[in-house]
Amino acid sequence: MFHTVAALFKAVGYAAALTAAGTVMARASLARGLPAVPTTLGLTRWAGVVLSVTAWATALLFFLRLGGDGSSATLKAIFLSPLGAALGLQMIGGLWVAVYAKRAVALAGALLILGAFGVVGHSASHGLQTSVTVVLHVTAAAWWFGGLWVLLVAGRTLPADRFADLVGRFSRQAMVVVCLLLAAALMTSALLLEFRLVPTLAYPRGLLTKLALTGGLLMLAGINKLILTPRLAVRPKARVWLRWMIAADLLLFVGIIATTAYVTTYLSPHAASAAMHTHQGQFQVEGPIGIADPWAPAMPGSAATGAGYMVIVNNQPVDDRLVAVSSPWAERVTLHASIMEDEIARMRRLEALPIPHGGRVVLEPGTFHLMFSGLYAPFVAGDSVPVTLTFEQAGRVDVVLTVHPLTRQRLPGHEH
Amino acid sequence: MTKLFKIAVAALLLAIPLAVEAHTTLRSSDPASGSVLTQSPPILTLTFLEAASLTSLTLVNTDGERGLPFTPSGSALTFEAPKPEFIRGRNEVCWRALSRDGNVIEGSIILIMRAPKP
Repeated sequence: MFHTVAALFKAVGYAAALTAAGTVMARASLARGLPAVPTTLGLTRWAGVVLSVTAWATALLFFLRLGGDGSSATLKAIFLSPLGAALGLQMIGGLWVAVYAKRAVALAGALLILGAFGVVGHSASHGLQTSVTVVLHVTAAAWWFGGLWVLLVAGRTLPADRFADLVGRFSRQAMVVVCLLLAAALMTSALLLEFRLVPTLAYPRGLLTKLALTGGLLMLAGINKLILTPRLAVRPKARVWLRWMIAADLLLFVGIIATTAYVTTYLSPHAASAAMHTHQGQFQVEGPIGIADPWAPAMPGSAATGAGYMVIVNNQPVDDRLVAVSSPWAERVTLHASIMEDEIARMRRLEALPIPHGGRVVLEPGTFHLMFSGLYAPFVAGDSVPVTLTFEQAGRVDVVLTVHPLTRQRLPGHEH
Repeated sequence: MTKLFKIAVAALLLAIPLAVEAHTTLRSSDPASGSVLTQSPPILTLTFLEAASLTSLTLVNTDGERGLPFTPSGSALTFEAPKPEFIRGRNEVCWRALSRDGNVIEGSIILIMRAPKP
């Protein structure tokens, strides 16, 4: 829930930041010598205010999430940190742009807003190089986004020939800006992913999604430039079409913003290395004995007994037997078979569990199980219980049982 | 137009992912998670993979929930909580931190206390 709200705040913040900084920059670069560039005053002011509010709201959200008891650790963590610095820059920058929207000095506010992107985040903490390239990337994106808004407003207010001039100027400047955008994006991605593109990981896929959406943007821009703009002065319908295309561009941009907010909240470029520190629990042990899907059900209350299940595969050319089991979590672990005696389910203690060569034995409810007695702590869903299995031939094998909630009874995908 | 908006919002809500991929996380703890101890350790140490600011440490066991004080406050790789005073049975220490790249990370470690063998 927290991450959903955090991602939402991020998306709104990104949109507001790109609009506030972007409209200021685009107006400045497009208006030179072209006196009739319409102001997007209302939009710029609103964007600045929304950005400021979002920055405050994000600070509050993080404060609540991190254990908001006003302790010095939490306050210090938020405010005296890269996150606090970035939120501060956005708060001040947003208000600055809103107040000075009409004047050239608003550019200073835009600089503060854009600088915030180089202070916190995956790119910022990766190093100075990625900090710089990501700020360049966001600056280019902001100019593009802001420029589209200026065009949208101009399409409504300017006479046809002036509008055509403005669009032409935007198109020329955009070519430079888009090159910068793509170059900075490539540089940042390459550095973050350490020059290794693994398309099965989520983070690279997120970046590729952004690239695909940008491709869509460029396609629309191409149509605008080559087909619609030349027709502007001649056919009145072209103007309407162009405005729709610009709206479509803005929508695609919003899609890119949403993707970025998702990627930076839910994913991480170091997911590959972090995954090494978590248990997957699929095929835990390979070798002479293979163990698949070791699990245990959570026990209600404070039960001092527990059960364990798994699939034991004997990869050896000889038959083997499981002769002993132990765990530091319990005083004793024993092997049991479930049998039906006169329609009553019973357990029978086993001294050993034979596993034929090249074969497997499945421990699951109804067949065999490990029984833990004298548990020092009851099994709770999510626990990792260390167990040592001793085989006659293969020797000692260490396994970790994952404790699942009581509702899970069958191994997933394990059909009979 | 409003109907389209409603459909878009519904689609967006359905797309909300429930799991978060690992940002930086805990590298190790001393005592390690899952250990079975016969006495409460004098210090509990947590070490992160990357610099982070630990903001809350809560001990949950059959006695209830209790906040554990720790040092340092601010960004570091290693944090120490003196005299955690675990009790018999299951002790879960839930931690929450702000990583250096601005993400909230959290997790818990489990430490089990049992009576010493005679």
